[in-house]
Amino acid sequence: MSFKQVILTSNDFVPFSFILQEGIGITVQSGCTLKQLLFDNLGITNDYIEKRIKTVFINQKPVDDYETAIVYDKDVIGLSGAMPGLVGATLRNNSVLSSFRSNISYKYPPDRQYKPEKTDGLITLKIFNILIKEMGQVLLENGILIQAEFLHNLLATEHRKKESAFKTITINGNNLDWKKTGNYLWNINKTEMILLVVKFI
Amino acid sequence: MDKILRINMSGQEVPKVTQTTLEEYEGLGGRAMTSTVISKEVPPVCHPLSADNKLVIAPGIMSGSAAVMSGRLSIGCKSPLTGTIKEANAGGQAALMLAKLGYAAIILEGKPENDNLYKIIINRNKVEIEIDNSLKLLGNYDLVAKMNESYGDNVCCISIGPAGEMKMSAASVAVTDKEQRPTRHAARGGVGAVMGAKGVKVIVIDDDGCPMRQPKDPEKFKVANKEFVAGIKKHAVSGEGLPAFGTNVLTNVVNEAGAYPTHNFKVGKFEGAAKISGETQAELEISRGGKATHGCHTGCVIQCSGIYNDKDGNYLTKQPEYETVWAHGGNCGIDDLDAIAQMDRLDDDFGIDTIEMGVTIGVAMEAGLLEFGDAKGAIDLIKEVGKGTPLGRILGNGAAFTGKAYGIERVPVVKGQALPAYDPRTVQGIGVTYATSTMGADHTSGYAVATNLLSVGGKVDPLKPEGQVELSRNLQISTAAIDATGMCLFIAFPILDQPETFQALLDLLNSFLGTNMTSDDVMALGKSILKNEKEFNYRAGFSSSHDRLPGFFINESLSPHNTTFGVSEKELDEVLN
Repeated sequence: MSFKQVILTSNDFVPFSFILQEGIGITVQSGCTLKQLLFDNLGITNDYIEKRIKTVFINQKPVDDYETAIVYDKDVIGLSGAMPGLVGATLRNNSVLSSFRSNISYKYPPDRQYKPEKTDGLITLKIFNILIKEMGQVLLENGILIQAEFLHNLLATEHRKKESAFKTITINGNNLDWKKTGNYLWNINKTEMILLVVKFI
Repeated sequence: MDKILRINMSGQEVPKVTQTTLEEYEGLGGRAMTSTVISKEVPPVCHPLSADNKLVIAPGIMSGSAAVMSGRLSIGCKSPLTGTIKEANAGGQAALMLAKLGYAAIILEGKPENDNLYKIIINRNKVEIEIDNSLKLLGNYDLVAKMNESYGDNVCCISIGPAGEMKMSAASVAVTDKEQRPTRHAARGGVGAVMGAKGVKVIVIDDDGCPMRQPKDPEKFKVANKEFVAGIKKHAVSGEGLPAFGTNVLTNVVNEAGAYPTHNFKVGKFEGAAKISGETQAELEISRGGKATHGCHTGCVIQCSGIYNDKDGNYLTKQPEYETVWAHGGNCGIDDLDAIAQMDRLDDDFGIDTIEMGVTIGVAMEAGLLEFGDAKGAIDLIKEVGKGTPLGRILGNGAAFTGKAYGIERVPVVKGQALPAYDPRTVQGIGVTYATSTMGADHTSGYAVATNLLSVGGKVDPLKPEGQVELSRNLQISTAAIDATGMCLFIAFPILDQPETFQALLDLLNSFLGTNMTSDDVMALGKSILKNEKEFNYRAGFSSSHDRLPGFFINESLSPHNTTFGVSEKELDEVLN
């Protein structure tokens, strides 16, 4: 898969929080396990997975076993730290309260047939709460996929601020005035995925 | 805390003040005190707004001490909303101050035979009761400002707004925070209407000159308190998530689970969730010079609250909580944080339960009074409540009343009380608690307290659905016990996950009280509270047939999981049998 590439320099992480909550695109090997996605694909350490990622959803289903859960093309994965409230505790992986949500829990084997031969896939990854800052910066630095429309909205929101965090933008190798890039992005298909790389300065 | 203050508001003469020793109520605090007094002294079949009902205001057994997180104040009565027994609790400064003054409870009794409005001033030297009709229909903010002018900035106010004076069933009792703002509410079940029926607008508490309550074993207490604080601070929920984002941190996660009731419980996901999430809210608050981390009472080390400023950087309200953001936001299809914050401010000022009000507006939207997503229309409806117009009086009496007034079937209530922000079709276990709670639908009546550590009734297999009934029962028992201590329920997370923090809590209790309580004793206390409450409800005419969710939760499936509530009536009847 190839994508148009946008490189953005920013002196602040906060403007990216919203897109991480809404979901970013990540290329994966469709058919890999959730553990493989987190460990091999995203480069998250076992220690971090165990201690910080307390709730994971695959297509809205809370997951208890990362080793057996399978990730396919077009799946939506949500990652969260430990949450308050009865329901927050109930949704945690292997919660003592997990019987409260047994009707929606991810169950193996998944609905779709497991395909051992792995193919390229694209998933939506949502990151919430304490994980946003901890994981988000590295993900943005490594590059994420984002729909042209959402990138346009991100730039437009920042453009409206008195003092923008964004300093420079490079599109497919060309340096542009980032405040004038909106029209360029509008002129391409709104749903086209763009590879966004952020350099924090 | 060695005394009870009784104020009988009956008669044309000056209300009668009596101070008694604790006697049969010795050793009780918080919900244990309110529910025991109500079950012993209030006729279960009385009208909730009659002279026979009582309003019991009780700090927890640890309140007024140096024990962190011990600032919850319980307020109990027979509920005008549900007809059942009721305990609603709030943070703020009142529990601390009342306990330092030595009061284990204030009990408002009787009912005035005139239209006068009273204020009660309590300090270490005296209790004064004055008629002050200049306070009539004042909002809580103006009321507190007026009390501060008269009594200074170091007092605490327990008050009602116009909704309480008009005896609306959704009326709350407000408690001031450290900044003299009426932002903490014992909100559920219409406790404010009962205070209004007693003719009491405000109780001003001044603890000047009163020392902190001292533990029986100071050394052990100091060590336990330190360990308890360390446990709270090292846990990811109480030490990181709640301080950084507040309770609204739940919006994204509950929404992602498909358990976020949207458009009056029609669907389980809200498109605009990220716009009103705790993460977005915290960033907005900080960018406007507000605070995303703030404690609601002295001694709070979790600091899950915050300060929400308007676009110009001026104080608007405290950080709206998850339930409020959901009720006024996603449930009504509204994704505008400023509109939600404005509604939170109006609720606090008029003295209304934000959950009941938000769900009521959702029902009004279902009835066609306004469109889902109409933020301005929703704000205008709350203003109708504050003015007491005929429409406002319908809305101010809650979702069930409004549903009846407009002929709506899909009304999300149990025993007349609006459901909170978690759909029971997705997380079925919380539906068990909603249905069977002695209080009506209540997300805090079966909290995630350390049932695994307490192990009452044996270990439950978390992966088996049939464990839900037993778990719900144990959670309701252990939550009732925590509610008696005056401790904030958010201590539940470190004591759920960290056995040493649970032990520190027990050590804290025992060193303060000079007791040797075990976890079994804690659960026994919780059981006795629930037993009193259940018996009261039974005598008030409630039976297992009232422990049910509305039919649409069983008949209508909820997307995205397309599930219905599947716990049988037989199983529900086993929860608190």
